[in-house]
Amino acid sequence: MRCEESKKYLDTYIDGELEAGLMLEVETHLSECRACSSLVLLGRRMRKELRSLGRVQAPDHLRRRVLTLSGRGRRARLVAAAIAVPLAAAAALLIVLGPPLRGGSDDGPVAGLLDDVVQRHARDLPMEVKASDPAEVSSWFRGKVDFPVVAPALTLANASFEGARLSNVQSDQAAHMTYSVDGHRVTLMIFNPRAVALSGGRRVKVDGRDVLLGHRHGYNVAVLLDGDLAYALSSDLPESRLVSLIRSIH
Amino acid sequence: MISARSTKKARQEFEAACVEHLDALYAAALRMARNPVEAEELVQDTYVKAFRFVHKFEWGTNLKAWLFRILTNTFINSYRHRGHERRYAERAAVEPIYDEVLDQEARAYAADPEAHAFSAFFKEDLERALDDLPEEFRLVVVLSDMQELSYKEIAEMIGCPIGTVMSRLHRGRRLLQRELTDYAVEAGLKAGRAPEEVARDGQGGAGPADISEFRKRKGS
Repeated sequence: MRCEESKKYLDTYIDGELEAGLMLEVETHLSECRACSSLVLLGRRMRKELRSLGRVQAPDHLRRRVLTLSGRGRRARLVAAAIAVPLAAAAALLIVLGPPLRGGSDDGPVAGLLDDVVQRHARDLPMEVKASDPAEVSSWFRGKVDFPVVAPALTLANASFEGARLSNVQSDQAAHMTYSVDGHRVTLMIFNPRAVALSGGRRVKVDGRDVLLGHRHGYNVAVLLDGDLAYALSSDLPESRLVSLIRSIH
Repeated sequence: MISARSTKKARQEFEAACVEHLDALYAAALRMARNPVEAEELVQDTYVKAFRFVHKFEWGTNLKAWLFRILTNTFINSYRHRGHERRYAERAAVEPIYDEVLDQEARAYAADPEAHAFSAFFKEDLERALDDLPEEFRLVVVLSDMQELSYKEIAEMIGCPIGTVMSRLHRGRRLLQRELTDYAVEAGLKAGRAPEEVARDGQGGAGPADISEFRKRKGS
């Protein structure tokens, strides 16, 4: 075998996928050709380096999200619900005593949350369920997130529902929904926020309910705090439009 | 009752076995999507599908390959960004790569592996070189070199003949090697094919360039 021919097989040889007959021929050639055996050395080193790029640890919050999807996670959530009551009592106490006074401006702890929401909006992630009626997706979310998902029908002219996917906001699970309003994409994320993470930000009252407003990376965000759940809308629509969309969430 | 319980147990075992591949799936997703947010979403979508299609998995077959098949399909169908990458991909697929340059590189490496420019590179350089590969080559390099899946498994994942996997791997690796050689030349770690770039970046050729400086420039 000559170099020219041997070179055609070196990758396959390094991968151990060469058939026995050819492998023998290549090995014979390698034993007498320095140039080709150098190529094999460099090729093996590349492979080794690439393999080590694969030794990455997935972030803990991703692991938790994946476990939540499995049966074990579903069981663990029932246990978590049982201890959630005393925790909520402790949280209430914390609120009475006053949470750590961070923020107060748009760059408070809420900034990370707004960033997260906007990043997911900006990415235009694929929808896992496509539907034109928001009611259809409620059952899809059952067992995937630990709160009931009621996708609001945005009762506005020129608003249509497009679909939903599972997502997360910081390390909390979120139901992610996409609407189209006047041809603009609007992302709605529903999640169960931790009290402290939502202090700060620009807070306004809309129909007597608390709403956080922000602007990130060219997008407007409006977060409605309704009981235990937060509804975050992001879009390139003007803030006033987002506020009127918020009004239509009941 | 007994069968319901054993089905439940089998399901739990299956799900636990799937979760064992989380790190590998995430590592591959990072290089496919080239962005941590999308990588996480891609992995999550993969598990949503895997858990939904448990019944489609045949016990005794390779679970890792099955999960990677879902990952790859999800990426190809929903995450890849077509368009601007296309032209570069077409060019990269036909552009000649000079064997002599690689031969030289290999000889220098074999003569002294630790002194070779390759050894001066860090993980980030290799990541960046890989991320710069056009998608069709990047995919096979990630699945083969990083994840050690077989040609046959990769061919099934991306839905093409084994011969196509082999030629894309061959070309992908050459492009990657060329990219790394170019980095080394630009960093002034070695004299090479682009002396004018060395002169321009090397600030009057004063000593060996600082690799962290170089990285800053490349990253900006």
